[in-house]
Amino acid sequence: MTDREAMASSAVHTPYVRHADTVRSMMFDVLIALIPALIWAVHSFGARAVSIMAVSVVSAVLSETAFNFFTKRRVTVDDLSAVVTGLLFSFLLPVTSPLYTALLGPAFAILIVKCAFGGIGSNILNPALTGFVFVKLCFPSAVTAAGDPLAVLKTGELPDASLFDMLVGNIPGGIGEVSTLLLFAGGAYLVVRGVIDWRIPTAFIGTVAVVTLLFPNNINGLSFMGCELLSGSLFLTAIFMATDPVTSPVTGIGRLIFGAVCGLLTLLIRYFGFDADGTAYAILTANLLTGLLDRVTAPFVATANDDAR
Amino acid sequence: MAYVFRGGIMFRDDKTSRGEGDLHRFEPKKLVLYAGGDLQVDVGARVLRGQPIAKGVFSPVSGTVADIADVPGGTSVTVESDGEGALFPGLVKMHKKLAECSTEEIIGKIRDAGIVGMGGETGSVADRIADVIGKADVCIADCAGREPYVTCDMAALLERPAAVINGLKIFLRALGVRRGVIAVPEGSAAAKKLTEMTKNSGMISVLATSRKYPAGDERRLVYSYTGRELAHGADTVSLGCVIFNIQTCIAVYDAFVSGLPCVSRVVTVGGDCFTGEYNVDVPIGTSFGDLIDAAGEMCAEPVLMLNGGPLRGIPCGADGTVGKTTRAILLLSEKTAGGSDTDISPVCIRCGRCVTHCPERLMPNRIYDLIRDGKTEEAVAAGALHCVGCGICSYICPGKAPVTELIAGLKAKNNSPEVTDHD
Ligand code: SF4
Ligand code: SF4
Repeated sequence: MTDREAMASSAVHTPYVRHADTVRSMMFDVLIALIPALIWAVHSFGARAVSIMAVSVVSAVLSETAFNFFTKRRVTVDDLSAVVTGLLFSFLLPVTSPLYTALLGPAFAILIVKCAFGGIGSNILNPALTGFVFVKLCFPSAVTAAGDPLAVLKTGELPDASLFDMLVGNIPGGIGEVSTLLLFAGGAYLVVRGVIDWRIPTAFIGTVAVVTLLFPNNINGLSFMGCELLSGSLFLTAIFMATDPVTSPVTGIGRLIFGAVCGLLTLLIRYFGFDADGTAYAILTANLLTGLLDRVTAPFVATANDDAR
Repeated sequence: MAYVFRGGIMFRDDKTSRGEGDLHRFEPKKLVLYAGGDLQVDVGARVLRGQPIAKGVFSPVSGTVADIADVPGGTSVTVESDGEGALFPGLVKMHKKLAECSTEEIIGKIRDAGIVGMGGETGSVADRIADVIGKADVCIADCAGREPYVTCDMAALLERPAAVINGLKIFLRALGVRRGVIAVPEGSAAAKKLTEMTKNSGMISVLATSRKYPAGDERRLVYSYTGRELAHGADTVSLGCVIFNIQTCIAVYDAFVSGLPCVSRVVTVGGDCFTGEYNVDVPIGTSFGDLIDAAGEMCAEPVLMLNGGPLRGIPCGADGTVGKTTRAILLLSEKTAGGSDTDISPVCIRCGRCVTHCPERLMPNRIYDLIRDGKTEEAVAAGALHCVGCGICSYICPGKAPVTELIAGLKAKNNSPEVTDHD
């Protein structure tokens, strides 16, 4: 081997091509996946839904821009993640929510939960959900939908709305969370595009389905399960928030466990807790387990002969 | 069917990336050969095709020695071709039948022909055979590489399948091994053709490997055949496998039947600056510039020239020359290569794609974080030195985090040997 070849083979080999996907393209896909539910929100809740969504998105984007400006960082809103956070947050709000909640929630989510922890990739909790919990704790009645089927269910009775109404979204609730079918369509799109992993929503929703079927709270099992699955924010949060890459595990098994934990915690709150829905608290709690799940499900196992080297 | 290894990635697989097009031939007017020393020719001397110029270096063409110059680590010899291709009369082919040859005779022949592993693994093939005699139970001829654009092995195999089969038989004889396997991507034209050609052969069969990259790396190849993972840093022969690139098989066959030493090889000239694939059989010593001119019109402005594939190649210039291990010269346009240094500030969003695709079961994102935090010991404990440098983690990352780059830096600091990659 000549020196030339030796030099060539000792040079650091690194890839010179990159996959076309970027953070922005993935976030853009998420926005596309949210469009059907967005249209439904406008269709069933009207102009006020539009203003809630607009205020939320603008609040999220402005918060991030302002933070970057005042801390002299590069502008990062072009990755669209702030837009996604704002829109997802607004989907959780009922149409009756005052606009200041749509302003405060995303600002809290972006400034405190995301930017203060180091920006995208470094936050521990899902921003949109934390923002929602924040406004929910501050203004509990303002952001609770009147006649939410889950609240009725919690009193031990079946709600009036039919399962079909819950499937398409003819029920009270957050403006973007009611249209289960359209959210599912968006989720399917994201799975096909490889933006989210099917494991988290499947384990999450699957756990809720199985447990509610087994423990129907003295109500007809199938109807109880149907209501638990189709009303409330389960599909929205399971498909769009629990799958937030930053705050969920990176391994396949870790994601399955994560989804199941989300499901169990949700039910714990729904059966015994203070809240009728509970997905937000469940996911945020599971977020805290992400690091642990990553570590215990790490696929790499050092082999015996590692030591020999 | 072969075992399918974990992780990896499926790249574009269409007719422009299969090596099934024509194999071209090209002979430049002038070649530059590199020798360690002990020159056997002087300036102005006439040399013939196959004539030794120095130890292990042979003139690939007939012509005149135009220049001899000192370069770092040796001497460069410039030969001007007369285009006649007259053969050196001193070439001796193997006179005996293969079944009558002894191991020593075959190794001697291969050593005389100056054959090195032509899949990127430098090193004398004769030495390798001598090392593994009695330890191997299968010899694999490797054409499984799946790095984008690089289709030279496939083109060479489709051009001369019989030479590959016979070259492999020579290896089997030398190694005293009774099983030979030709690893080709499943579903490829070569897989069909070779299955047909070897169906009556008791010793040689086809291993249809996964179409994922990095199927051609030796750890993946051994897994594809045995279903067992090679221990970290272990030689392939620890699982009974010895691997030679298919172009090495062809070179051995040629040395055997005509005495012609290793003086040419098939190289891919490609990248997204060309519309199709262009594989060309060229003499060793051809300059990259000549090769690119021969490949014809470009359809885009190149911003990067690589010696090797887009994931494992290294940047080079047009003045470089084809060596025995040069597999591909790629020209990449802004559109493709620009991705490696965009203005996006790199970030890991923990999407997990690198974890899913890493063929070594590592968590590249975690190692990346640890290295960035300066926790090199923890990074090593997380398996950083097991990285084979396939490049998938950097390639796949939506946050454009330089994952492979950081791990490679850490490995370099830890003096970890490069893993031989035939891909
Ligand atoms: S370059 Fe190393 S860490 Fe990255 S995917 Fe390949 S083997 Fe895994
Ligand atoms: S592919 Fe990139 S963004 Fe995704 S986990 Fe790996 S390093 Fe992080």
